[in-house]
Amino acid sequence: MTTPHESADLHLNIGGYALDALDPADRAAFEAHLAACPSCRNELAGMAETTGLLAASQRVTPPARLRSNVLAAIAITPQLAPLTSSALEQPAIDASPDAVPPGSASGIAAAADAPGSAADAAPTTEHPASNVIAMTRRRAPTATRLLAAAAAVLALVAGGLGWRNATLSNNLQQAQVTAAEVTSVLTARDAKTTTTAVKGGGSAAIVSSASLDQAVLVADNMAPAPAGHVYQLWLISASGDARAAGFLDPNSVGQGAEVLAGSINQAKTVGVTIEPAGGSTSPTTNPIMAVPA
Amino acid sequence: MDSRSGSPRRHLSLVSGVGEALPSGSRNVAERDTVWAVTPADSLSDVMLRVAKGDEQAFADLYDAVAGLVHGISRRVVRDPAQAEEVTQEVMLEIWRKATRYSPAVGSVQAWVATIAHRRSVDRVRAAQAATDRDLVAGTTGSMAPSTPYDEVAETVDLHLETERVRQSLSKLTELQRESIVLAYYGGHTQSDVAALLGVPLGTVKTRMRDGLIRLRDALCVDLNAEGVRP
Ligand SMILES: [Zn+2]
Repeated sequence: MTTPHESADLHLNIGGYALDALDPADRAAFEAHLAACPSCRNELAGMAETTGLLAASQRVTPPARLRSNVLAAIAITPQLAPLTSSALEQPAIDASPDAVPPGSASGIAAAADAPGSAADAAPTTEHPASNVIAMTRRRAPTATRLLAAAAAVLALVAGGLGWRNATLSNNLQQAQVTAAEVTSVLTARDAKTTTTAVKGGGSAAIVSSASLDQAVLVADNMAPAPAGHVYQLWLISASGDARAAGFLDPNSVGQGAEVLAGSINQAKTVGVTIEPAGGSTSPTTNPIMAVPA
Repeated sequence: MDSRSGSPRRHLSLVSGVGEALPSGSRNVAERDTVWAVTPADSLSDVMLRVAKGDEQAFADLYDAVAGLVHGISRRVVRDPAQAEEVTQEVMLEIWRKATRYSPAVGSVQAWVATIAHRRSVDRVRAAQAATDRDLVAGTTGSMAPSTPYDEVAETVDLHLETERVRQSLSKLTELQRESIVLAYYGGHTQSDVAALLGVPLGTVKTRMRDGLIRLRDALCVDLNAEGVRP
């Protein structure tokens, strides 16, 4: 076969490609070449088996806790749709607009201003009875125990959206990315959790990792947001500034999990409010939960 | 064709899928359209099929079969134990998520898993390297930490048949082939870095990586059924 000089150069990168030794630009160029070069594909198959043996010769048994971490994590981690899927189907979302509840004062900011302990951070403006929140703060639980709890709570990921049967869609892929992020926080070595009751029913936990600078809100048994409204997440700084950090969308059995958008390390408090559909730029209602970051 | 000879012949035809019965052990490569080699029998590919259907017990079996390989390569490439543990967990989750995309037609489960593990590991060290480079003043070329020599087996490595087999096969390479492969695969270096570290032209490193891998493949008797499959 005749190959132009340029193509011969690309053939030559096969070793570097098999060894992951190409920089990103060369890697991309070689992958494009690979798609059009049966000879390289064939040769690469043998090289991949060879590097696989290079890896297999260096086996190191990982710590046992990794196994329980991973097995707990996969229980809540969706699998990619097979590449053969083509039909697009989006989960139906009922977003019927309805009455907007009143709400003005930012209880979260007040909570953030409250000095000191976890209990102090609980919102106390409305419905004091339901606001008496049993807030327990557990330091550094093992990832295993945490994941066991989270796996139960996070059934939405596997079940609520019908993952396993779902066809490929942008929504789904986004959700899968989210699920992977959730999992990485839950499996972080320094993951710690703070649990709280939620006003209006249910409970929630903030799982945070300082090393990842990320946190996940896990909810269980929460009522659906009122029609035309959403649960909005907030990261509140020590000075009381609330930054929007995403939305929580509990499934039919009140379970949900969401990565908070933004730095958890820079936040003092994490809170949730009910906001009109589409969310608000700052909290407009009193929080249904607030916990120390 | 009489009925007595026709019957077994028809049976053989069904087995081979073509009009002519093939001698036992031969492969009907010429008739095949695809250029992909049929990969060796792989006991893990059945497990992978179940994993791809969301079977968590099958994944536990897969974990037990490949986690040592994954962790070994992440330890080797990433080096920092805590980061290596993170990479190992990420890789195992990626394997779970992508199990639906695995096809036995393109290689063994071991090769597929190793590819994912190695890619994740080098991505991790290069991200760290880039961060270090940003922190340092530019101009410190060639200042990367030397890689662990290939024969410096960590005390934690589980001794397997493959360990000795690979060690022996690596010893059959030329020094330049071996160093190029080891620096790249176990050290996580790019081929440009390898060239700089070894003080040889990039083109030489490319060639040594390629012919070194081919020699290694042959020394390891990688069973790919690849003979005659090339177009
Ligand atoms: Zn080629």
